[in-house]
Amino acid sequence: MKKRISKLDDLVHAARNEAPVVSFEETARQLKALAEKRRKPLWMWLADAWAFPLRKLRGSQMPDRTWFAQPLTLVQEIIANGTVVRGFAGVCAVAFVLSAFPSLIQDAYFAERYAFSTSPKHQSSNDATLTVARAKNERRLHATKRTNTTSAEGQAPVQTSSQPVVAALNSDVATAVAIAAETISQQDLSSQAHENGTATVLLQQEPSGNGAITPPAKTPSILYRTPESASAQGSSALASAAQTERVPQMSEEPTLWQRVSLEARMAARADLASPLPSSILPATDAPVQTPLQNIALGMYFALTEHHTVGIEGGNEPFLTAVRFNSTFTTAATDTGSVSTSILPSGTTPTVQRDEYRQGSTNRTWFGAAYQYNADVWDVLGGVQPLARLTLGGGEMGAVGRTLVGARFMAKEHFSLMLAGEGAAVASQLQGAWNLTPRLGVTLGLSVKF
Amino acid sequence: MSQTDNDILQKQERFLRLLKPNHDSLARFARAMTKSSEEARDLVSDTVEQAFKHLDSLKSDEAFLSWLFTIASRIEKRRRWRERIFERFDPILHDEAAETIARNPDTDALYDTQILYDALQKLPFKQREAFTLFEISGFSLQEIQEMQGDSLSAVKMRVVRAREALRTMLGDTHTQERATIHHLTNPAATNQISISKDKG
Repeated sequence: MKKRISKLDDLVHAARNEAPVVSFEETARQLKALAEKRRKPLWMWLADAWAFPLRKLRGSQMPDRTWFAQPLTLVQEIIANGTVVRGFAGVCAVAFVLSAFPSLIQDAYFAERYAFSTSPKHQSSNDATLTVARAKNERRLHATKRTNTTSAEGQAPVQTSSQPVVAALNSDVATAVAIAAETISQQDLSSQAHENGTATVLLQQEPSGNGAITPPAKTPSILYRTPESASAQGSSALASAAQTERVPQMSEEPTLWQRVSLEARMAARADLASPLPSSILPATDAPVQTPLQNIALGMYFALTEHHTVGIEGGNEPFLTAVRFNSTFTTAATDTGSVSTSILPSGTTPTVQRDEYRQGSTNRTWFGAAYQYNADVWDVLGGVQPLARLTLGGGEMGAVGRTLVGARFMAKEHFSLMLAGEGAAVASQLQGAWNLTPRLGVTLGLSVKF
Repeated sequence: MSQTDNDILQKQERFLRLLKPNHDSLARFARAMTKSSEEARDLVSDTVEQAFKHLDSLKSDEAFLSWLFTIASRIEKRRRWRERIFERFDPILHDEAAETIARNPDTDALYDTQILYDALQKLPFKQREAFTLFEISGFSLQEIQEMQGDSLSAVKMRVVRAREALRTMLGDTHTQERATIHHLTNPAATNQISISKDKG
């Protein structure tokens, strides 16, 4: 069949003969620069990384594509991605609401899957274990008092008394506990017999065949301990057990994991830099609005009670103004078709002028943070003033941030932060250093493990 | 100069000697596989960097060409995957067409190559890759088969389907070849391969 030239063939032919996007000489130069960079000593690597870790992160030049930029690129993309951030914020919000209002999940609270356990702040010798047992469709509260006594041989036999309490759990936990404790406190537990140092006395045998209480092996338990001294005995221990403060399970020295906290925050911020006069800006030059501006994510590690360090990153629009000195051909300017293109080489310039552009493009920043935590004020359930200093870099240059505010410790693992924030980016543009300051108010949600 | 520096220089010389005759072909492949010249330069840079880094794993110099393009293809595939996952918004601030003209000021036809590149972006990855390697980079079907790792007939069908899809997208009126393609000829390749396709 005779070959016919089609439009596709023309285009393929043109593409085949098109000048390459990058010349071999340029690639060879980049490769040599890369090899040169690979031979750099370690201290130069560290110096480069410290100066501007993300400088020219998105640049196309090969020498800038260093190994340390790759994981940061991934983090940057995760932060810039709306789904991930919105998902994280959503999970935090749901967890916070459920934690703040446990009645929303009260049924689940007493179900087989959930058990809330607390440990004593102080060493105790008296405690009471309250278990919830299901009997048919009725739930009962089963109370057990346990008194630890030290024998003459130095052993620690346990004296245990058990009292089933018929208390329908249609009230909240504190009321149910109070009912149980009051019932048990009316019994004389001190006159029970001992057997080999351990005595188990059931003051009231559970009636057989009448909704027998399920053994507590599979039932959730709520453990309360009194902060009393070892000498406390008898019913007073139980009575006080009902009013015992529930405290988080925490050892004196927190584990490594317990020192870690995550924080997501959003802010309303305003530029302090003076914008360019609109008279010299093109009419179409509107700021680029992208979603998820002014958000930040951070991970922190508590060194001590008052000192915390961490890393954080986020997106924030900084006001940028650029002056172009461009050359145009008359034809290009007249037609306006390629009015912003740089003149091809070999063409005589006919028009030369300055152009100004201004915008607030969303920029990603990262930094290392230090935070000072003041003592907790015992108001509003616990308020902790804090101050944070962050130093880092971004696509535009060096970024410094300060944050002064307070953390409201709403629940055990969650806290809300309200703070004033100041940020400044120092960037080098057209050979000159510029400082772009911003001020804002930040609302943050912190999750502590 | 230390022994290590000498080794690096020798490795560099070897790499550049192998790269030089294939560089422009790689650059055109990169341009056809990506959305813009900027991305194409990125792809070339990344490919060269990775290839140089792993040059010692290349067993023979004869395999360099397909090895290089395989690296480029994998990098581009990974970049596409990441782009799809993260939906990265990266505004292109430059005028692609103007840049093309600036690079090639002597012909208007080159402006039209952007139309071809835009149309290529709408093809599935493997079709785009097969078409670009065959039509623009000048590889034989067997070489493309080695790179893509599928059967020869699958590669042939990719090229044919890519041509058909491109003709449709470009509004090409030359539809005679749609019925039966007897000659799938690569002008840039030394061999000619004939295949037949029955139009159902």
